[in-house]
Amino acid sequence: MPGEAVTTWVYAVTPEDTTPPSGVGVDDGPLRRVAHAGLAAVVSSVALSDPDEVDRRLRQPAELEALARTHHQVVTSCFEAGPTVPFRLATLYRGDDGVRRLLAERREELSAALATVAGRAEWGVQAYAVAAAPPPAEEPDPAAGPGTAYLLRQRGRRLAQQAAERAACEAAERIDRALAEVAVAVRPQSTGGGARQAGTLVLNTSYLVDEREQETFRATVEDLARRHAEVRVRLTGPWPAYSFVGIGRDE
Amino acid sequence: MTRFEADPVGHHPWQRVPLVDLLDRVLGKGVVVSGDLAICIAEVELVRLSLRLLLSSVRADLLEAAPLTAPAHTARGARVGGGAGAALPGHAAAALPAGGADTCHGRRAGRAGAPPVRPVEVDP
Repeated sequence: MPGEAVTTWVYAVTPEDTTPPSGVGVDDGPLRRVAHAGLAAVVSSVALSDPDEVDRRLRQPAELEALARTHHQVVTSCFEAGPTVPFRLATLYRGDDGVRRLLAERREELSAALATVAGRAEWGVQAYAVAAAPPPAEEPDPAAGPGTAYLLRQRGRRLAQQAAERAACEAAERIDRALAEVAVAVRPQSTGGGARQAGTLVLNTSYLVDEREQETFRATVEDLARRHAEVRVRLTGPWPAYSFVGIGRDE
Repeated sequence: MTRFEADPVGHHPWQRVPLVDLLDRVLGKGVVVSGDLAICIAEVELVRLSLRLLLSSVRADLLEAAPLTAPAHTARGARVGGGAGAALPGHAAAALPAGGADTCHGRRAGRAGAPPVRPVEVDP
């Protein structure tokens, strides 16, 4: 409709000289690019002009999941085509002019971020403490009553658990040090992040890894996992470098 | 190449990107700039939603073994950029200060942002 405001959803910024994305984004809006001075924002138009409407959608689990998966899919297709600086979910502008302004105003930061992530991918590594083995049953002291025996057993269990978690933390530190040797950059994450598995989360860190080191990195993770029975290790990736673009978090 | 694979010692052939890992990245990471539309993302709310999504996808025995309310107390202090990289509180929602739950981006970004939740130091 002529004159009606169009909202522009920004997925990522790439160099202008990479292959333009094809396909569709959020709500099946065709992907296109807004370019300025060597940078290209990958965007699509969405019929979302009311912030409250966007809020409402983000609060519904099924909608949130669909939006997050679509956003990530577009970011990933950019990432497969070349250097990609991912944007946070639901970064919206009233039309393309705002996006152009963004590219002009943040040109240096965006270019620096592109240089950081070019030819690299993010890998997530999580380690969980393996539950302590039950302490060996001790000979019951004939003088001790059943209450004392119970308390002693409880204490033994607690100490074993503490020892297991301490060992797991030490293993996590060794694993982290070894992986940091292979990675270009390291960023610890919230221990709340990541799929939850049994056991205390003792390591949750993202590593930025050069393309040519990916296999080395994976092999190193596997090797470390094999050598550290104190933890169960989980590896995800390769991700677009979401955790290494560092723009806007501290404003 | 498979984009997402099981952990080397795990049993889950991840067919899709695990949702919690994904939300952690698309909400908690990436470039955060002021768009034209102020979207107010209530982190606590989103965490609750992601937990609900997670609960529906995790086996009950795993949950029994690892109650989601268990404190994740073994995080190490951040080394690179610290709290900035750990903005999504994840399962530590209960630790968020009351009233500071909403993080807005867009026009309201400057004044309504919750302080990033920093990982708790390891007990020595």
